[in-house]
Amino acid sequence: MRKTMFFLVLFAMACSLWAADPIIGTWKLNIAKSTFPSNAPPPPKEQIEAYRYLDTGEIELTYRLTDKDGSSVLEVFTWPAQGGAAKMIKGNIPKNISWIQTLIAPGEWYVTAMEDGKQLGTRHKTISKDGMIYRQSWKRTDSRGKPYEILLVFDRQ
Amino acid sequence: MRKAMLFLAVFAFTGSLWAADPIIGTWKLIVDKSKGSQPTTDPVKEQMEVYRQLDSGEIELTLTRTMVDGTSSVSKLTWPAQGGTVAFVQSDPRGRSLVETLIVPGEWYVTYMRDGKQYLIVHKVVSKDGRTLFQTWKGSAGLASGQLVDSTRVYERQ
Repeated sequence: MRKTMFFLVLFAMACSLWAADPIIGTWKLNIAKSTFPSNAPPPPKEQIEAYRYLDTGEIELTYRLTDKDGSSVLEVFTWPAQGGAAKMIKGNIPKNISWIQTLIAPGEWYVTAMEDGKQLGTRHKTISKDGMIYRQSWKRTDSRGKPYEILLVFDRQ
Repeated sequence: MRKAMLFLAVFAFTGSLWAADPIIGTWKLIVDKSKGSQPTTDPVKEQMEVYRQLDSGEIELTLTRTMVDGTSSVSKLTWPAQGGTVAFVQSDPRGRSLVETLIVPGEWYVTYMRDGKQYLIVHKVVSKDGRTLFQTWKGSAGLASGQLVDSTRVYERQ
């Protein structure tokens, strides 16, 4: 009995140590709950973000976006699970664009997008306490240099 | 009169566009007000951080540090004023790469990486009255030690 209890406690401890970041999972953009200012790109028809752990100790993001005209984008990125420099595995983004995924706390990330090492914008990603809602606050400037902020709200699938 | 008003309005508008980040200035670490763990391998006795805006559109940080054992060092770093990759002007990067992320004026995150992997973050916030700079350090202390750091450092404007 004692041995069983010991193994159960050990198992529970190991599970807690290996608890996945709450961002892991598949998220679908809820356009009705998101906000798009007039000087920002228009809302897409559909956007899905899928985050998963890789055996390499990285997180992989598969990003699928379908616009209202039917065109679509598929991009895949990876970065160290503890935070760090992101790599584009699939997609057509220029090579002078880079991203840093900074882990603030489990379920909270800052993404810094840079062009030639200069910050273009940030994305603040947070997961709700119940783990069902993912909010992404996106700060950038438009072509005239006017700042704007998009709030994307995703539902867990 | 109208022309004068227009000129003043334009002057005020451009002034607001060119307003320096509140972090610009000279800051002294107040050791007594700071709390949390700091690396036992290099405890700091005195530290000054001088941030200034360069004509090149960058921010320069000159960090002067005196350790408890009396040794001192000066590091100089620069990065784009809008945020971005840090260049080590005077000091050895020791395998580190840093990114300064501008959240809003007076609020920055510094991401420390080794081989592209995050090992430390520093959250810098200037108080609303502009007199105090708070730095929250979380992560691993050094390249080799792996010692955990969780501290808040308080600086006063000089």
